[in-house]
Amino acid sequence: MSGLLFWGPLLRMAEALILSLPTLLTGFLVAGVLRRLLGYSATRRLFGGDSWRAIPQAWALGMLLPVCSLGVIPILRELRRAGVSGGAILAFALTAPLFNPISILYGLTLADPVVIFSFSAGSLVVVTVVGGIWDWWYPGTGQSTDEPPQVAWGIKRMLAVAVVALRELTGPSLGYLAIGLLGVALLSVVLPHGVLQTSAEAGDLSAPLLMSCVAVPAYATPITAMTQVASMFQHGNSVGAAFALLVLGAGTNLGMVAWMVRQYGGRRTAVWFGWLMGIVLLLAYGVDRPLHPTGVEPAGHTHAFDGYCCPFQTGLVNPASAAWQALDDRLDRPTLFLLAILGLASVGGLLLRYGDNAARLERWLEHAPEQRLRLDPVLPAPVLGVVTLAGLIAASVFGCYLYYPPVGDILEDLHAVNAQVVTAAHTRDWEHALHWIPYYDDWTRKLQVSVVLRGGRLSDYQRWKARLLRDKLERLEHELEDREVEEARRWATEVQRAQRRLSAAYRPAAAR
Amino acid sequence: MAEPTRSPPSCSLATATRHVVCLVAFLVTLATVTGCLRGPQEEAEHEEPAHRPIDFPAAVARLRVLHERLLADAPAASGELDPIVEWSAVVGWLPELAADSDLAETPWNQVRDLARDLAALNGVALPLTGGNGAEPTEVPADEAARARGAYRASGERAGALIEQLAALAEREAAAFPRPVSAARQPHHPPRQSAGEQP
Repeated sequence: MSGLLFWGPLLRMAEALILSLPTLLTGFLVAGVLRRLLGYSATRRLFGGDSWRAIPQAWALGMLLPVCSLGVIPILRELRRAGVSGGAILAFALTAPLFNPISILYGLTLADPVVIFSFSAGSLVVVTVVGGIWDWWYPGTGQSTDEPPQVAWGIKRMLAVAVVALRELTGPSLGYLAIGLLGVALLSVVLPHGVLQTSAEAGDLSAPLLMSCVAVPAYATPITAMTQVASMFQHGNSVGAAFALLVLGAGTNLGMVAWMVRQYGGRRTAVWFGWLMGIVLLLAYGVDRPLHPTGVEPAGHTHAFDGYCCPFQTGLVNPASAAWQALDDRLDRPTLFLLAILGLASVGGLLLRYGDNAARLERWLEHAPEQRLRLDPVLPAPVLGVVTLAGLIAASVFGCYLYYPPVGDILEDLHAVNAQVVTAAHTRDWEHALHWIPYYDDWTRKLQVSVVLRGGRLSDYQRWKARLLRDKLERLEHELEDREVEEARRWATEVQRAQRRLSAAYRPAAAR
Repeated sequence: MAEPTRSPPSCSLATATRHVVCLVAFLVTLATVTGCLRGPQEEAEHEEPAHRPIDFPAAVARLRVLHERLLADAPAASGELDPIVEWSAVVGWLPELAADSDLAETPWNQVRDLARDLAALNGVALPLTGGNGAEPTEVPADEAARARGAYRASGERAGALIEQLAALAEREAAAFPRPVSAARQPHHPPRQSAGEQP
């Protein structure tokens, strides 16, 4: 039991860190850009200054920038230094982790577009009301500190951005990140394995409230949250619970709450939090019935929240080995690359923190060269800052094409994964089959998004073929977990058949 | 200057930590009170309603039987579902069962459209299945009677639609004969009276 209580939370923390890597590193980069390129006055202008546009503008920027609720923390610290109003900061904090182009595309394809637009509008209502109340009750929370000194042009400006990011990575932001990850660990201690599988049923009045409670300490990347929302729609779960999960699960974590308490005090945070929960719940109960998908037969359970609970069933003999195996499954090449960047950046940050406490490097970076070449015009730093932020947004849009490869490529991958799963199920190689099933499921969803991304139309026929394959995969997964030999073989055959039909249905899209 | 500008925090780290711990305690208490944290559960299982046909041809065959019973206004035997409730459930399953066959896209679209037309016939929205293998929820007798009446009034049209479905099912069965060994076995055999199911 003690092994479960140690390895379970540790695994969940490591998984959250791995999932957050791209958006976390982006957050530190954006913090550096805001301080060294954009500067504080330009940042205030970007976030609407003191005008009424501040909150909607913060919401719009949050929708576009690809960061998560952990990656947003260093940005919040910069916005606070820049003197952006509290309402706008909190609006950005809540919205930035909810959506990015990849997750919106995913949601639009796999859930009902009306629902995704409604959820986006709902998040705007939440941040506008809560941010507006904050600015009204607590005016003047946006107090600017001194403008950071200008950095010399050229490569030094780029270095200065990196230095800010490195110092942040090993500075106070690290503490808030740790608190955020501890929230994930805490949830896995409190929630036994699979306990949330039946907690979000349609018609269950307590579902949105329960989900709101669980979602605050939970951590979800934008794409994870959208996957969960899509899965809830597939299983006919409570729409209100899905909304609460998206806004609070992706939008908040304990690290962010800790930052708020430290910056604004416990009382103000409690007031903000109370309003936030109240409005989210009001909207969640409001949309629960009107947006419930028609024609979806409730499955009676969902696996969308298994990732928040203890990863192991009670009685597991060797949780350390199981934890390592689960972690190893996630360490693919891109993840290892990002982990290496994080590791190097952390070492760099520590060297700066302890080797250059007097900030000699920053002084050198701020020292402008005396001469410059006539044909080497210097662009103003804010221009570079805006270009960098726009570039990040553009990169995340183009990233969609990498994240969702062409239909033909996905069909080939599906074929290969199908062979792994079916063969493993027939030969009783349980762990191997169970290892590949999540990838299989994920590829079927990417297949659907890829069709839409490349200008195709997803027909009802194609939707059903993908859905049936996922249903059968889930059945197979259950049988594999229960080590049911005959049933596993039967469902493996069903999966094989469904795969053949799926390929036939999507082949015309691959030929386009 | 390592940290060029600092915004003064409103409270100490210890106070902030205390507040966060209080928040967590509050959320856990709330979740416990509302029934979330009941302790470990068994893995949720998929179960199918007993009256769910095993495949598309079986669904069409069952619709034919139910159609005859509805036109004859035969009462449901004890322990059996009201025929209109079962009929509605089977119609609802048609697109899924047809998608789980080798029907090509065009005939599948026809099945989907025919199922929509059939569903519109009885004019009464019935709560059909409870999900997760639950039996259909209770349908008020007067509502079921109204639905049966509406169905009988459009019996001829319903019969024609079911025959179109039957033609599609037969075409599929002829084009893709399934070997006996590969035939899908149901989780639970569909409820049926002796001699009714072909």
